[in-house]
Amino acid sequence: MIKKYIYTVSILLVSSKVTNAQNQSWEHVLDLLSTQLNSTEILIRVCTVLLIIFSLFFLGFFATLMIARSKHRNEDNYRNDIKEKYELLLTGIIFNDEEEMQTEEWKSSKKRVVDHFRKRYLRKRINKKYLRDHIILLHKNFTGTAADVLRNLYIDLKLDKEAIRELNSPDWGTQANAIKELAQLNIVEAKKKIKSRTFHENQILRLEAQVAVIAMEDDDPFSFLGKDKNHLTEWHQINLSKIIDTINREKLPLFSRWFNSKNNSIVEFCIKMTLQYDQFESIPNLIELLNHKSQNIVGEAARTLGEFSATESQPMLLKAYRNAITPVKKKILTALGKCGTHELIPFLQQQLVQNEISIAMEAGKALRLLGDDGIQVLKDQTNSLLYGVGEICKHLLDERI
Amino acid sequence: MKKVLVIEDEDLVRKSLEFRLKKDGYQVTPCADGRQGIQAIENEKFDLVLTDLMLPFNNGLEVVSKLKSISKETPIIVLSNIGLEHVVLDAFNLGADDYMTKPFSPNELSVRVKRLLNK
Repeated sequence: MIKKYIYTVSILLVSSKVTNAQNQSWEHVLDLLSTQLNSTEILIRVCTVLLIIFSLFFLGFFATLMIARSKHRNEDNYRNDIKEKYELLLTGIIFNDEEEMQTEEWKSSKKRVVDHFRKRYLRKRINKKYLRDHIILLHKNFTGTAADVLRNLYIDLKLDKEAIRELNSPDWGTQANAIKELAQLNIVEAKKKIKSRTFHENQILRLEAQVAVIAMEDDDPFSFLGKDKNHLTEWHQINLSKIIDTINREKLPLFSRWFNSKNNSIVEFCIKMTLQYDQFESIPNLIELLNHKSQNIVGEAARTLGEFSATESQPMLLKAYRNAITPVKKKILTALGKCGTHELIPFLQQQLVQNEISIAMEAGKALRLLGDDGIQVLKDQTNSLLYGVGEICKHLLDERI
Repeated sequence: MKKVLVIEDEDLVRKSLEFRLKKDGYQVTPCADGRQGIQAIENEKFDLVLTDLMLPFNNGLEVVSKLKSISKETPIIVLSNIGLEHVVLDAFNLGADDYMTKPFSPNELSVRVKRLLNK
């Protein structure tokens, strides 16, 4: 109060002594000071509010973190608990003696266990998912009676219905996993739904469906090859060939059936499968493919004809060679080396002495494959003055290589 | 009671094998990776070793090699997803006594274990 009084008096004293102009400048300074004081107050208020907001946010974040952590821990404990139960159920059921499993006593006790298990531990969808994962994992590792028991248990617990329901999920990943699962356990009921996904726009889902259909379907499992308009990537082809390798050879169709497909990647895949499964009866169809517009297909067909030692393809290979691009020319030369006759020697010699080194090398290799007469041509050319020809011949005749 | 060492990284498969072999009357020591497996081989003598090929830390071939360097007479069965000729040959060349490709029949495994232990 005293300070305020002194301040007021001094102001009055000063103000009584100063001129009007001085008075005005003082007012201006005081105005400035009060404005600054006001703005500082606002700043402090804003900072306080921000501090409160951040503190609340931090507290909220911390609380969420703690709740999530505790929830996660509870889930982990629950999962471990349920996992132990599942392990007991699965190992207890699958590793019984076959004779024991045929007895009525075993069957009724199994039914009791399954019923109890269903009521007690399979109410939640997440629990069903855990058990499905466990069954699939074991089914992938075991065959024979153990695998059959697992499949029966899967059906008894109606887990197949869950997987079939997941086929309607909007998420393609869920659908793909369900397809994989249903195919692993050969749930024939789901075949129709899975088949409808063999042309799905999503590549992975489409692949899983096609793999599943090949594994499950007895009636024309490869029919999708005639209708699929999507490009088959190398990865897709590898996966298809991997599953084809596991099925009964008698179930395999003649892959030349799809040689006239408009989808070039399917034609290429079918040529590879024709070679993989030694379908020699498709040689005439392979020869026809040497006229195909796609150079990749011509190259694949030539390679396969070479591997099949199809001598009858020689004239068509020579015809295709004329218009082929360099990589395909090389494939044709290799094929000619494998399926050609001695009549080809002048042609191959001509290719050997031409300018392009990569083609000359393949022609030289083809000559070497033709036996003594071809090797004689290589020997004759070892001192050739043409660029690279002598070196190629020496290289090909070197027994160390 | 014959002692069998089971080295398998897949929890459920390891427990299943353990259950099956215990049911067959063996004393089973389970290990979850190659390093644990090698430690067990170094510390204890087993009548038979059953190992997966693809294991964390030390793979199955290293386990075979280590076992044969310590105890040539202990039989070892290799379990694997890989059926490639060169992998199977590598395992046999290192001294594996048997090789089973997954998926396998537990009954068949049981017979193979019994046969090797009775040799």
